[in-house]
Amino acid sequence: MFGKLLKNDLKAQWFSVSAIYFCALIAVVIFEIGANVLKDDKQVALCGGGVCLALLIASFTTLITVAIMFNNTMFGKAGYLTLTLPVKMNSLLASKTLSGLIWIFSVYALLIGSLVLWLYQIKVILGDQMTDTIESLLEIFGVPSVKTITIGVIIACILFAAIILLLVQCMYLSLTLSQIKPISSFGKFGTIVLFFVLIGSLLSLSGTVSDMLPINIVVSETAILFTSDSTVVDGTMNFRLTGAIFNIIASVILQFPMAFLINKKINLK
Amino acid sequence: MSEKIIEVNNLSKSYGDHLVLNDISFSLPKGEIIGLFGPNGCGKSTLMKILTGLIHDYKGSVLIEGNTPGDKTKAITAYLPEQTFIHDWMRNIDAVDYFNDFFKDFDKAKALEMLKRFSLPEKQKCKTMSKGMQEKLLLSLTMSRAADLYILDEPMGGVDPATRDSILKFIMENYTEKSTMLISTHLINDLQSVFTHALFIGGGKVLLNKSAEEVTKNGKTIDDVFKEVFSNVW
Repeated sequence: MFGKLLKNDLKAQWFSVSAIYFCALIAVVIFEIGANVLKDDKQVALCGGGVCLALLIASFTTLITVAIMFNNTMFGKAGYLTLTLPVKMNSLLASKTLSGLIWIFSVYALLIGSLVLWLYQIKVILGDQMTDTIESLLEIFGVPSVKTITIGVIIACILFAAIILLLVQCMYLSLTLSQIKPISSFGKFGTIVLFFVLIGSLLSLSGTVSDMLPINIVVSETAILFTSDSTVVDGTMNFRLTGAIFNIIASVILQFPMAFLINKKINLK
Repeated sequence: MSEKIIEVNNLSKSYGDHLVLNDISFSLPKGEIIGLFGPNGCGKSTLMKILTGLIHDYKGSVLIEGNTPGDKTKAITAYLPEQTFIHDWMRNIDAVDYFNDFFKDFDKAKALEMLKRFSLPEKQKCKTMSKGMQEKLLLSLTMSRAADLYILDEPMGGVDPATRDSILKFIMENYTEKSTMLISTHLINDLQSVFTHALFIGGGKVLLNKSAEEVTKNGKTIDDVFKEVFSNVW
């Protein structure tokens, strides 16, 4: 049943986010054509910046769209269908979280990809002297190999996905809590404040836990090691794992009060 | 005594200071077509939402086939709310597939046949259809389930009289003696011939809970009795 829930949630969200993706794609195409047509290097770099800006707007809009979809399908008219399905509330919520995570992560992945491309273009503006300085600095710290960087990027994506997971759950919990008095009396403003309070507190707690119990993943050419030592060694990439574990655990835990509130406290209007 | 499908004991529900259902108790027999009648705002929709597990903060006990409203009862209950509940992204065929995915008792072939009968194009977006067409779609979806209990909240509220007859015919065609139907409506005259049981609620109380035979034994129609009962209450 979870597979069917996920399939339908992805379809439903695609209906809304496809328009955003389409607009972002048009913006990217326009900027990239501009970059190829223009002769001036600075203008080319500006086009790269334009692509990143378009995708930044797309990522923000996707986030808002996922939140609106959750609100409409759980507490709006579509809730009459969603909440009368013979499925466990935890499955229902997990499916909405996972589908939201997939769409938000996809647009952020595109944004990060564009940023990398833009940085490549911006090297032109910085000129040879600045490029040489950066390369010298990289040599001092030790440049990891392509294999190390590839594994590092995969790990970074997983850790980043853990942050988005927490972000989505905080968004959903805020929307759920805003159905209950007295938070409901503050309207959308209350929901937004609540979201920032929740995500701010949990990320700060995540940072504290990371400091208290440091577990790091060190990626090198030959091995992936787990260590509590945060020292960066030449040619390796170091990632903090504790925060990501905390984010995933917190996201899973947040689902239970949400399921309880929807099952026991929130009435469909 | 016939088997009961719904058992409600000491049920109370209020919205703020307004008490809508005041300590009501009743049970409804299995295999009947039950008319739920009462004036506007008397709690008919509230009662239906409680039965379908959409309202939780009530007092008292509600049992459907011995279970409190939840996953088990949702699997055997087909609910048609007053509101259009189809998601904006859905075309008629998507709505059929959605029901087919989640309800084991859903008959897809029957639903597709109903779309044809009501002239609802499979590829048309639900949100672009008129209210009447949407009601036909929702009814097709709900009645294509082989549920133990159908809860229909004003199933013909937004349709023209000609369509009403076709919907009524459709409901009757799809009713089996194994199933129970609870239908709330203000169109008592149009529907009274199909009801085998009547439940009147008003002023927060159950005012009548009898078989249609008992209600009409003095040669009166359900509509006549409704007017009598509610002229005394209000």
